[in-house]
Amino acid sequence: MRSSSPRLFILLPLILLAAMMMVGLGIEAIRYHTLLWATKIPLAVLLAVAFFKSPRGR
Amino acid sequence: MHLLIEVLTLLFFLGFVAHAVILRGVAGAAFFGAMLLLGFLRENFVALRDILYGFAPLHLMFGRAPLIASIIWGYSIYAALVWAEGVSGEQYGTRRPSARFLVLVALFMIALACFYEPFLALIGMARWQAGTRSVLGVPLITWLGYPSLAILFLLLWSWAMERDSGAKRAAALLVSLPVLAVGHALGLQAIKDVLGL
Repeated sequence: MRSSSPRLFILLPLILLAAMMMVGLGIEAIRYHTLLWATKIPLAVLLAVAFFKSPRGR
Repeated sequence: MHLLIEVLTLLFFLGFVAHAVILRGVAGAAFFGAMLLLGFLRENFVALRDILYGFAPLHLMFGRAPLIASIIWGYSIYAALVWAEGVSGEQYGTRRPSARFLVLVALFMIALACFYEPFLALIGMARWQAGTRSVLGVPLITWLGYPSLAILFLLLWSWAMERDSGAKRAAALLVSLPVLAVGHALGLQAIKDVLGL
């Protein structure tokens, strides 16, 4: 089941997390007129690593 | 604003549960059940003992603590697990994970702390004890608290899954999860006090 699942589906929780980060940035900008971007960099980098370096076809 | 974040987090959490069940079957559901129990026990203990941090009055409560506080642990640990599996190629199952895998999980949990904490403080959902030391709005104690709970839970789950029957596995979890929940909260408060964090 797992090995035949599409890669994007396997990474779905990380996609949702990235979406949550975007929602957070939106709330910060619209409601509080600020962007806490610096503290989001570590997570953004790790998510990017997963999407670009994740072994394929497992 | 708070309700929007609570509902959104709950929906994403349910998406994570569905993902775990589809990919891991009954074990995925049990995994989330255990993490939900851990989160519920830990956050309610923090609320009852008034240690580490306080809670804003939110719309969705689960016992004495907000629902979001209970589910965020499972949400975060599962995300760290998926990320560590994705970048390492190691599959987390019933066997004890490698040290490399646990380090990757810890790294991801620290990155999550950096994302969550300043945002929660900005919108008034995180209320750490007065005098808590922070860098860029991230309490230093979270760099220890987030990864340690994830690693201890994953090791505990692997240990419980080594039992040879479902009943023994459930019993192992029901005995050890409350110990982990209470021990982690008290231990973190003690470290925070000793190190002046």
